[in-house]
Amino acid sequence: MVTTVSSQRIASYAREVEKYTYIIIAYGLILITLLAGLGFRFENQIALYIVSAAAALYTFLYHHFVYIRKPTPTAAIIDAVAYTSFIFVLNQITGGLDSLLFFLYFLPIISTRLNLGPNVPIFITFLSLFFVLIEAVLASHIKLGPEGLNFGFNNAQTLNFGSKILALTIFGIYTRSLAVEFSFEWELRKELEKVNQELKETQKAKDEFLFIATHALRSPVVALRGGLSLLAKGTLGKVAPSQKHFIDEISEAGERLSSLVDDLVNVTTLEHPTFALKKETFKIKVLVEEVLKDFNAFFKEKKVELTANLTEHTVLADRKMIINVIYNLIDNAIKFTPSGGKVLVETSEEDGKLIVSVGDTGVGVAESDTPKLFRKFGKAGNVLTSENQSGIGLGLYACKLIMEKHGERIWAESILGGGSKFSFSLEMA
Amino acid sequence: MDILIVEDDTFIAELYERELSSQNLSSKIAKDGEVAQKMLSEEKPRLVLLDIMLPKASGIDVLKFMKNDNNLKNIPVIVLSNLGQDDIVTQAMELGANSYMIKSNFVPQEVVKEVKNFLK
Repeated sequence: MVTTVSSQRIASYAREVEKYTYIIIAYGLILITLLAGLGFRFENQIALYIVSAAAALYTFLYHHFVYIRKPTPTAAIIDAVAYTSFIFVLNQITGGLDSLLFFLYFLPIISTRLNLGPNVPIFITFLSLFFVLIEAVLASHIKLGPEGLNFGFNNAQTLNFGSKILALTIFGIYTRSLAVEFSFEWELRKELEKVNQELKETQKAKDEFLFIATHALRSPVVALRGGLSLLAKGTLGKVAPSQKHFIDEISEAGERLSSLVDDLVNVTTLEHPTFALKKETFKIKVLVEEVLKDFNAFFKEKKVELTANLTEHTVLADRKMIINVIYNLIDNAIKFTPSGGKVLVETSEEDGKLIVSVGDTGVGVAESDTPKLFRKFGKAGNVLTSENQSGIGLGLYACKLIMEKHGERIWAESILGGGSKFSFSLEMA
Repeated sequence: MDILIVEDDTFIAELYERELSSQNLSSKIAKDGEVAQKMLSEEKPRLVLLDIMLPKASGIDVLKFMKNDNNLKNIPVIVLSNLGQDDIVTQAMELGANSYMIKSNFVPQEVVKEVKNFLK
């Protein structure tokens, strides 16, 4: 995945920065020691060591704990402020306002400009100007002399070679970090933009599909079913018995098509990122009985015996969505149960949850096939050869999506040839 | 005129018109939202069958137009659309539609049955 590659690359860059930080600081300190050994005199040597150690520690802590873990704009602002302060202290220690070191103030400004837009660098610029002003005031009013830990309020001429080397070494590290940070940021930003663009395009494609599924697919279904229903009824003229049979068959096909379109629309709506449940409290018994009422004629027609053992529990869920789930389960139970079979709908309490189950004495599926039932376009082996089914394997997938959105479970227990039992859990109110 | 059918698909409109006629209900067809508003201003039907996706002005526009007109605001409106998204259904019902039917789920006989319920 793009994001993973990017994270790995960032981690590897960050490790590189740390490595270079230590190497450069180590070499910088060795160089200073060597130069000291060769007779170069450093002003404020202890202070320089302290500041270089502080800068090194800061670089390590920042990269290790802040930047690698969470490279946020706030972290970058804190970084820029901290470095601007370091520049100020270093300028003081290494001999006051100096033309060579003065340009270092621009680094955090450039860094924040590149990474954080126009406002932060303006703030950093003002902070730098404030420090420069203080430096100018200190340089013109306070002179503590070149010796000792005097905060180096000297003029530019007294700045010695060793101090410059150390200051530039430390800021070399910073420059290096900046370069790497820029590449992080740019790379990250480019990849994020790319991912965002891809997401937008996927979203757009899904929205378009939803529109096509709802409108463009449904319109011909309306014409087909509506036209056939008028033909069958004889509104458009008398129909011969030989024609009637064909009209009935086509009408049934139209109904199946309508139901398939509905399944597609349901799943697309459920998969849509903007889909949200509308939870409310309701009596499960009332809701199940409402659904069963719609199926009464089908039970009678197919001669399947229905038993309902329903409790008086109140649940908290999206009513409309739970109707869909129960509707799907009962529809499947009727579909896959031969005449003379039985369907049992029951509710019970288990481990603080309400369990709704729809059991049947239908064809069943092999136990190993039950997980397949809930997959998108998933069907069990023997169901593929069953004469009774007309779906495309979206109904149970939609049920699974609905229950997942509720943070609840849906599962199947089945014996091949011995019927099935589908159950789902609900939060009790 | 008993019923104004606002529907841009001529064939579907004709199906409803025929079924209404078989139940002795007279109807007229408006093929877009603007024509619907014009026809409503000229003649007041007993009920409106209203599609949502329409040329020129949407069914939602027609519904708003009706509810803003004292003469038309009490006419029952059955929205008959293939759009089933919750936000659209809610919007139509909040604007004062009396019923919302997903067109593909009902054959003309069922639609006319619903029409007759409102005309009782």
